Amino acid sequence: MWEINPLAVIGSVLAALTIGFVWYGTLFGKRWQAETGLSDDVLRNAAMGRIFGGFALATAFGAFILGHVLATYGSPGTSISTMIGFGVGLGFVSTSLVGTYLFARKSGTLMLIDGGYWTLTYTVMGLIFGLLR
Amino acid sequence: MIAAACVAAAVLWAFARDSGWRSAAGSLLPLLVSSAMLGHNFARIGAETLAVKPWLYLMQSGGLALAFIAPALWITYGRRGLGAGKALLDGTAWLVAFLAMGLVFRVLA
Repeated sequence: MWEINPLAVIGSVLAALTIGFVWYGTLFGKRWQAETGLSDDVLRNAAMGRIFGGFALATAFGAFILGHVLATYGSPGTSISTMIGFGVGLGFVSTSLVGTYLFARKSGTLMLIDGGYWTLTYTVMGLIFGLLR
Repeated sequence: MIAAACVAAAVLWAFARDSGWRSAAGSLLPLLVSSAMLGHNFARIGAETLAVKPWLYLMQSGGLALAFIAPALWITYGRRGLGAGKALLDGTAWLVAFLAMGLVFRVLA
């Protein structure tokens, strides 16, 4: 139940980081910035070390538990692992973000950008665990 | 499933009462999705196992909130430069909401 491939955990963190760069950079960077109201100066002066350190730790923890969940399914192949990752990303993480944003009265665009990121990221994490089982 | 989503919406509303009841009502739809996923998870474990190990209801629901939702909130808030206190508060709200959903599934089992 706790036979979790450390390479898959590391791969998941790297994948989440890469998807984040593309998602919050090239693809939706400008829209996300407009929705959050963050200025260029604020983003330039952000404590990147702390942000990325926290990102790596929190993502590794999430990936580790995803690995545990997949192990309870008997470490399935790529299609089932990807489906479970998608289920976690959409069914638990994105829905909770949407709920949080509804209470905070945030825009639907921000919900889609952040929710989409987590759904895609957990789907890819599931795929990585399936490939490296 | 519907009862669990309603209880979770009430818990979240209790944590953010200044947002009004419309936010709680709007949150019902995403909570129904989470509740359905949680119900699917319990169904996979099986009624016989859950009858012998009833703590699994809270362990599973609380574990999902702690393992998947709290880290995602932490990262999303960090990206937006929001303080750790806000992430901790919202993470706690979701933990309590998921524990409440697990409890509803246990009571209605």
